[in-house]
Amino acid sequence: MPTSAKILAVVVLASTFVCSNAGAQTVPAATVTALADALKDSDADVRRQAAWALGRIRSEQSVDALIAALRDSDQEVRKQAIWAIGRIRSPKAVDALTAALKDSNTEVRRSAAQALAQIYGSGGGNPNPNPNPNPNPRPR
Amino acid sequence: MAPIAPWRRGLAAAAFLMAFAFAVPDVSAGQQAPSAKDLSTVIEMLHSPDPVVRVGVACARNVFNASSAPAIPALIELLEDAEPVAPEVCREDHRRWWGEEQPITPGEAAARALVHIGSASFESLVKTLASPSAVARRNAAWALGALDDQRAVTPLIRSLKDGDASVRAQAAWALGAIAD
Repeated sequence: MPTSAKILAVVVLASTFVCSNAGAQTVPAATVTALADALKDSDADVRRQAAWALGRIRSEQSVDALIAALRDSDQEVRKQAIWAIGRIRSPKAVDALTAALKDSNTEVRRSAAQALAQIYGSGGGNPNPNPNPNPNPRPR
Repeated sequence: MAPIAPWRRGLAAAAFLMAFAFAVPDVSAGQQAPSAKDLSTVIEMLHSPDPVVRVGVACARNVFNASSAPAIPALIELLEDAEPVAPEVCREDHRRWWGEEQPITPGEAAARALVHIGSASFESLVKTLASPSAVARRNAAWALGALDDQRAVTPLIRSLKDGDASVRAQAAWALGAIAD
């Protein structure tokens, strides 16, 4: 195999890697894991802040934990988790968000509707690597 | 005689601090760092027995910047100070003029001052995450998030296991703020 072909292969692989990470943050996986753990904290404020942080980080890796947080007993946590999922635009979250459309809390239902609209707006099952920033304010 | 209302006390202190800010030569012009003599006055006031003075100095504008590093130890000490004063004392926080009236503490004001000083505060703030005072740990976690320095990620992940819930919440916030 000629050297030029090897170089080309490396360049193609590298660019594929770079492109697949376009829009993603350079956040250590340990941060995402630790924050996903914090979604199960005994304190609601900790869970709420963790959901907010995961929404900033936008890692696909955190979607399962955020979907689980949609069943949180605290409505503020549910709302923040929906906001985060909407920012990540994971098609995986559609079922969970559809269920949240029947939440007892108006704010939660509204957030779920907005998050779903964002996911559908990004083109069906293909998650948009460059989502528009969500105008939701920081919780604190 | 009725006692002086706290907000009046706050306004008086703010006026006093404005006068003080003008007295510090050329700092507002950003051309000249405060001299060692000025800074020692500031540090002395950070130790005042009056919380209004402590907050007022810590959030005085144009006093804390990269050249105010000698004030770091006094500000770090102040991080555990949770004595609340009227928000008007802190003139920097314009949002509170229209928003909810929340008291401010010397610890919070010190955290902001440390962020204004910048990366020179970093090491001391990380050390404060192990302080025996939960208030200090929480204010340090906030400051590390506001400093937006990637090196804080590992210590903040450790703080997600802090014994105090308010510290854990602030650490989670800080991790999101840094990742932003």
